[in-house]
Amino acid sequence: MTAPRMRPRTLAFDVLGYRFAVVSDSPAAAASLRRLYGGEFTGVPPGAVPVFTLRTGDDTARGWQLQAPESPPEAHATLAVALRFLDYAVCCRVMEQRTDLLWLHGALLDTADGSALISGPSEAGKSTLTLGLMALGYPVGGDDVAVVEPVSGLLRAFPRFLHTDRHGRRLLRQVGCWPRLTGHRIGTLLPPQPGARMGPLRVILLKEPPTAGPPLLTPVPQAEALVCLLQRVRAAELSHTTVIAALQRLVAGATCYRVSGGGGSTYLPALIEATVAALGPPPQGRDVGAAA
Amino acid sequence: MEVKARPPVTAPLRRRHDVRCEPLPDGSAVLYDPTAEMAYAISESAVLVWELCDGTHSATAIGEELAALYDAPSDVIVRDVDALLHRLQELGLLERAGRGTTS
Repeated sequence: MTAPRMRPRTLAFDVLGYRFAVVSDSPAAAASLRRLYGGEFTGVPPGAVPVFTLRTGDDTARGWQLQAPESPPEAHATLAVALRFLDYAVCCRVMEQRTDLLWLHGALLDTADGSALISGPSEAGKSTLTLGLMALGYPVGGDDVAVVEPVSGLLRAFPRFLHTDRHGRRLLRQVGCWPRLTGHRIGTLLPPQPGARMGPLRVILLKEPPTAGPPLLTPVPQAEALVCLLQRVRAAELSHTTVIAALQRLVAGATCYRVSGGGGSTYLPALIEATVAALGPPPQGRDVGAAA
Repeated sequence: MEVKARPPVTAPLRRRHDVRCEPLPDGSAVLYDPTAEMAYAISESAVLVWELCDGTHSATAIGEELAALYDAPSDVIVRDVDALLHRLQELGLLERAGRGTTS
C-alpha cells in the first residue's frame, strides 16, 4: 500500500526568523508540519529560501525521500521518521542562524504557577517523564530544546515533534500514563503548544539517567542548577558573562531538584507522582496533546 | 573521597580579584573564573566564607565567625571551612594574602 499523494505543494514557514520551504506531495506531512510550525507565510519569491523536499517513494523506492538543503537525499521507512529527521535538520539550521540565543537541552511544560524545565543528558528519560506528565494534564511546549532570549529572558520551547523511543512508549503504556491523543496518527507526536512562549520558570528538574530504585527528588541550590544548565547550553556568539547573567535570571524564581532513580515500570509511577508533587497542579482547562 | 590528611590552611587567603561571585535569590552563588572560563556553584554558607576571604581573616577566624551564625559544633565548622578553603585554593580562586596581613 502506498501513502496518499497530492500534487507537490510548497509550504513556507518562519521559525525564529529562519525562513524555509518544504515541498511535499503528502497531505499528512503537510498537515503535521502546519501544526508543528504554525501558519505559513507568503510573499517570498521562489528560490529565496532554503528548500526541504519530502516525497513519498515511487513504485520502486518504497518509503519516504527527504532532502535537506545542500544535503544528499535520504530514504526513510516511515513518514514519522522522515518528519523527525526534517524537524532535526530545521532545528540545527535555526541554531546555526540564531547564535544570539541560548539553546538549552530540555523539556518545557506549563504548570498552574508558571513553567517547568526538565533538563538532563541524552537518554536520561526526559521525554518519557514529560509524556507521563502530559498524560496527567500538563501542557507541553517541547521535550528537547528550550530557547532563551538572553536580554528579555523570554523562554520558549523550540517546535519539534516529541521524541520517545519504543522503550519509553511501552513503559508509559504499561503504567497507564500514555497521553490521550487525538487527530491523525502517523506515528509522530506533537506537543500541544509547539514553540509556545512559556511563563517564568518555577521548577527546574535536573534529570539523571534512570536507575532501578525508588525516585528521589533532592532539592539543590539555584547555583548548582545554573552550573548544570551552563554545561548543557549552546550560545555560540554570547560571552560567558551574558550567558551566566541570562541563566541567573532564568533560575532566580525556580525551585530546583536533582532527580535520580525511578527507572523501569516498577518505579515510573512513583517518579511521576513525586514530580507532580514538586510541580504542583497543572493549569486548568488547557489542551494537553495531539498526535500528528 | 579525600584520604590524605592535609595541613590546615593557616595563612589568610584572599579572593582572586577577577573571579566574580554571582549571587542567587536562595543565597547560593556562582563563582565565575574568567581566565579558565569555569563556573562553580557554592552554597549559602560557602558564600559567607568567600566574602570573608579578604586577606585578613585566617581559616580559624572565618570558622569562628560562622560558628557564631550556625548551630553546629565549632570544630566541625572549622573543619568544613578548612576543606572549602583548600578546594577553592586548588581551583585557583583564592590566593595567599601578601605579607603583612593579619588575622
